[in-house]
Amino acid sequence: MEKQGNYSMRQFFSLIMLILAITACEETFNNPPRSEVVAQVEFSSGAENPTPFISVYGVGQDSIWISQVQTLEFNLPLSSLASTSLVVLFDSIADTLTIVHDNTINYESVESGFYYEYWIKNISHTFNRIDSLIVLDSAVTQTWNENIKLYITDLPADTDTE
Amino acid sequence: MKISSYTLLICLLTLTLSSYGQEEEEQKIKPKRTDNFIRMDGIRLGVDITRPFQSTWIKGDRKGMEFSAEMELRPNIYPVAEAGWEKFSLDQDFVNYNSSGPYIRFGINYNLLSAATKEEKDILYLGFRYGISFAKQEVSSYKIDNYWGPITGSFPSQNYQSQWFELVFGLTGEIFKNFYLGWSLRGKFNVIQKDFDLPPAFFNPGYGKAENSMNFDFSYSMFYTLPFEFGRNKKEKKQ
Repeated sequence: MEKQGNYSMRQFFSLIMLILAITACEETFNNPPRSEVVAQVEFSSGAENPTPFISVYGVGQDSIWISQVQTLEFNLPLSSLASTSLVVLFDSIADTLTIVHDNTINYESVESGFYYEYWIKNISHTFNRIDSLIVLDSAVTQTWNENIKLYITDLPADTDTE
Repeated sequence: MKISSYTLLICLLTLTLSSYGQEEEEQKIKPKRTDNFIRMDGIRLGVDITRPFQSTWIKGDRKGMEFSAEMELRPNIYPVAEAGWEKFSLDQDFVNYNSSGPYIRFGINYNLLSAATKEEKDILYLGFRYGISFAKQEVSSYKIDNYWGPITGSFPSQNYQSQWFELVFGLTGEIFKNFYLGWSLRGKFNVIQKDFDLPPAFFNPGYGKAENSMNFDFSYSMFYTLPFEFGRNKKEKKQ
């Protein structure tokens, strides 16, 4: 019995060394999730129009969030302050959106860390291209879904979209 | 990690069930145990040599030390006490997390191996443990990447306690007189967990990930038996 026990332990020790060699690999960590406002665009006239080129940057920010992307849906980043102001350009015509929101810090995991979720309280905007907007879902979470719908006016005939 | 845990479990069960299977056949022939004697006189002290090297197979920096003491109080029944200290830290781009604390386990092992004489001291056992840990955790810094600039912060230290029980399967063999080596496989089941909203308790010393209701673990220990005899054994010798 003693021999059998010692033999099993030798086998076990070898197995441990083998498994350690296999599992010893570089550690990787996932980025924490992001909560962003998902905005949809629709023409208030209901007429067929070419899809607008959209650019977005934050007020006071040097970097551009979105640059000349032809789309009817885009995301907006919120700050950790109580309100966020962004400039949205539809075919180079600028509007400013100001979103007032509550912020909640959330835990994802020790490996990924923390992230913010938001609750939209109010949105105001200028009226250069944006005709009106509605809030579809005030909860801005890591699971992206449509939060706001922007109704924009048709592009004036003499506007250069380049 | 999960894959390696299950692989480990399957391989070790395969290794040990063969010897256990043989033992089971013998038991069918001899259903009643005849080794109704204490084979280990004294107290066996042990140190788990895997605890300082856990970072090798676990994400993050986990290390610690663990000591054990056991004695054969009744034939084939070994009350066990295990005590240790562990720390876990994770320092990466988004979180700097630290947790540490002591733990203690009490329990019992039941030896499945029959022995013909007192000289056969190897044991194959099933065991039970109840563990308690006292830990302190701290998120000393976190960072959230954001278009508006990174958001940084920290959470103060939090003290918490947890309790769990373990089912243990293991083998201990005498290498030479009074010196033993032994391994064990452990299924750990969380029973009581003090938790927080933010950040939640992540690591329990002696248990592992607090968010898991069950953890697998293994140990590999060295033992030395302090050889002294108890009153009961002296009586047995006289008989």
